Amino acid sequence: MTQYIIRRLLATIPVLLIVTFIVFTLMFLAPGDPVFLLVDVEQTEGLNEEQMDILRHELGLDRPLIVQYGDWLFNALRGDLGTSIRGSRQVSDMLKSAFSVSIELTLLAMAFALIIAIPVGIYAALKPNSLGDVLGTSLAIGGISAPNFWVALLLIYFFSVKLGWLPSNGFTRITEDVQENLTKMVLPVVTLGIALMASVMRMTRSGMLEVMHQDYIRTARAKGAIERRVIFNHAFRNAMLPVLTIIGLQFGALLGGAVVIEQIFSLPGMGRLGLDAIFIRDFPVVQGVVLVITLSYLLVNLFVDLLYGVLDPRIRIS
Amino acid sequence: MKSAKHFYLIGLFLIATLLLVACGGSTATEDAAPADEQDTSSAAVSGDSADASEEEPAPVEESSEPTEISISYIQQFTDLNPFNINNPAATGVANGLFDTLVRADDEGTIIPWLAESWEISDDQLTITFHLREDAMFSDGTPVNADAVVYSADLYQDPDLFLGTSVLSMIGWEALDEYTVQFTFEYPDATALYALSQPNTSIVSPTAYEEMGTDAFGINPVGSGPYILEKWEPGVEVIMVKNADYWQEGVGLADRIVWRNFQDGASALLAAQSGELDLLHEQEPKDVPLFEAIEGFQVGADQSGWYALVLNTAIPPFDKIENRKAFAYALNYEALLNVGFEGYAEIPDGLIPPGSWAYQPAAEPSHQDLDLAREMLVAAGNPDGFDFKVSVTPQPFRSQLLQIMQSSLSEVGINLEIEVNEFARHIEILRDDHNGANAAFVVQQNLHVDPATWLFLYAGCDARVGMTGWCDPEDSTFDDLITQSQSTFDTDERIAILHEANVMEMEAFVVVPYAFQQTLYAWNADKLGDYHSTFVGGYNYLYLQPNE
Repeated sequence: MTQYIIRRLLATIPVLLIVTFIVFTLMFLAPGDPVFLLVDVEQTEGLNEEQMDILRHELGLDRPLIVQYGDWLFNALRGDLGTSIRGSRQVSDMLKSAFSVSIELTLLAMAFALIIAIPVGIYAALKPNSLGDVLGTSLAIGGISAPNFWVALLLIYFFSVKLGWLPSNGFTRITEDVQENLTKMVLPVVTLGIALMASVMRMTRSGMLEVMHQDYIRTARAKGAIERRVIFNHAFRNAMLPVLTIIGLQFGALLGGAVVIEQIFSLPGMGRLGLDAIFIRDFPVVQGVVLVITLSYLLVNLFVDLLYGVLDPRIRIS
Repeated sequence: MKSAKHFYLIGLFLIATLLLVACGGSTATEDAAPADEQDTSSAAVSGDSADASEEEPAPVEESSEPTEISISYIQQFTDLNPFNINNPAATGVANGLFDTLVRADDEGTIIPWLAESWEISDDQLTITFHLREDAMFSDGTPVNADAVVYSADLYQDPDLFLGTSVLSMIGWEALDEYTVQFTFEYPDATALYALSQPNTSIVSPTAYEEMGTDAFGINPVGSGPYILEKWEPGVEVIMVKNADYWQEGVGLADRIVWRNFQDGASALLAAQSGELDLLHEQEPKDVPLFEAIEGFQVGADQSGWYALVLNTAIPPFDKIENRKAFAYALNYEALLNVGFEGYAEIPDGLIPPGSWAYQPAAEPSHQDLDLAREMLVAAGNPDGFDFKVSVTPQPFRSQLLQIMQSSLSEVGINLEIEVNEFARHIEILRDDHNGANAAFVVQQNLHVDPATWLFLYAGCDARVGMTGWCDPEDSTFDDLITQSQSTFDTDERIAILHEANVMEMEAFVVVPYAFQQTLYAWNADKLGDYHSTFVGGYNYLYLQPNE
């Protein structure tokens, strides 16, 4: 098992190199001079050539692509991800700050989704075509179909504008004020959670429906196992494998930032950091964000693969 | 089975917590405000309240409660080092945190600020500033001549930040503790305007030395009417009143909260839910929605302009007749009424009415389709022509171009919209003469001196090469700009600028179609009367919230 984990971790290195190099190259090849973006768009025309050359040189943007990438890689290997070209913040500090927001958002949205989706999914599978099943399935279809920016605006309209219960946007760190943090997180968490909940609910329902007709379920019942034991120990455990895959993929994606939700609710997470950096061609920040997102995906997937083994010993043995 | 039960119990607890928090209070702002306000009040008026409490427990008066203004901003910024400030919102924040030697008032007149007075030498090559002696930085150190020299060392260094801030300034020295003298390479009438901008703010040398450039950009220390309390980039900036500020009547609210929004629509929702008091950079389509919010009013700042810059290096706009045909074919009324919802003015030059140098340079722009057709015939293309406009990816800007498309098509002029990313758009404007036939520009006058934008697009010294309007054998326009920059008499300057303005309008290289800089909305019930300032940076320092 240890060897397997080490092998998987080593395999992340070429992936990281390839991804960061591709992103760096694409940013480099994009038309337009990044220096134009460093000052206000409507004012940029006012800089003379000399001022722009100084800026280019200061930022190292006048060097060849491979030198810039090599320089970044060398420093990154020493743990220095550089400084944002706009402003004077350390990229590692910016990533730390944004990642903590994304982690909180992901965990809360995941908890919200799973707590509702799994019981409803199981119920719908156990009572197919019942009123509960129809309601649950309709909810799932609605959740998957509705674009999350629309759900977000709808929630803001009702809970902020009409009822005045919740703030329409903003963010307070949990370390500063727990209540304010949770108050401001409710709408983004629910918005994200609804889409997540829908896909997990559908997957749980279909998985459970399939498993409940398997021979080993009939055998368990024939042996006299109580229904609750049949459902949770025999059926649910087996039905969880595809659900786990979905959760893993979504978890990785959310850690990389829920761009739209972060934009609408002004959450300073990974998605917003990455998007803003792309708009202003902030190479060091984009590289840092890509590194973290790729790493999150790879690690979450590794964790999910290991969980498969826990749920199904046959996978562990193979 | 037990673990499954625990799982659900923990889950239910989490949901319950979220719901309890959600339903715990009436509004989030109401919840958050009292706690914050208590902190601020104790910090801001601690002296008064301590005196009162010693005598007798007086009832809490409504007027003693701290006041707060919540302002939205769209364009994000990541540095509050004043020498690196690069957008209107950051300028607004910097105007609260820092002081400059002089300021420009709403009419563009230079007024004393940290400098109580100044003298310009007879040869106009030196200015001697006499500083007020009661100004202090928020770290407790004095604002003196050394601080001014230290700041000038930073904002004049060509290798730092955005480079030299006052191009003509070549020397700066302290004559005594509260007197500084600046020396100029040539007589520069624009120097005082440059010294009124946040990019030439005076910073605390002690704090700057202790923190270094990087940290100072995150925790700036100035002598302004406000002190930075908290800054979460991309979310909010909170500033509290500087209780020791030297000037009465500036920085009236106890607390200013700047909240960042991705777009005007999100800010509008926040305004509807009562979370915002003042919003800039709004789109005209939202005007009716703002007007529907109780107590809200909408205003427009007419100190900037919207225009198309025409590329004279390549056909069709290499011929002035085609440029005129385009200008006469535009339906200005439709642009004004549909595009800007009436919150703009039809332009009559390139110096807008908000400017101290405003004088009509032409007849107000108007549509004349017959004249447009005549011009097309004179240019040798009676059936019209096709041209491509570069525009940045902002829907409002594309909408304005779509309105133009319909009126231009009446004379056979076909406008093709090409949406380009910002960097590419600027590249087309500056260097790439084959990139497009025209470019969409909005002139936001962060600089109060009109000379600085008149020469951006025209003349042989133009920074924006797109127009290519330069006659090497006739330097009249360039000479006028140079002359205006070295003329100190205001009336004389206005006359020179007017002449340059007329020349640029008659060349039809920049075709303005609306005077407007920004559209803003504010809670008039709370803030009273408000108008945006010509010098940029949001005029919030003089607002007294009435709650």
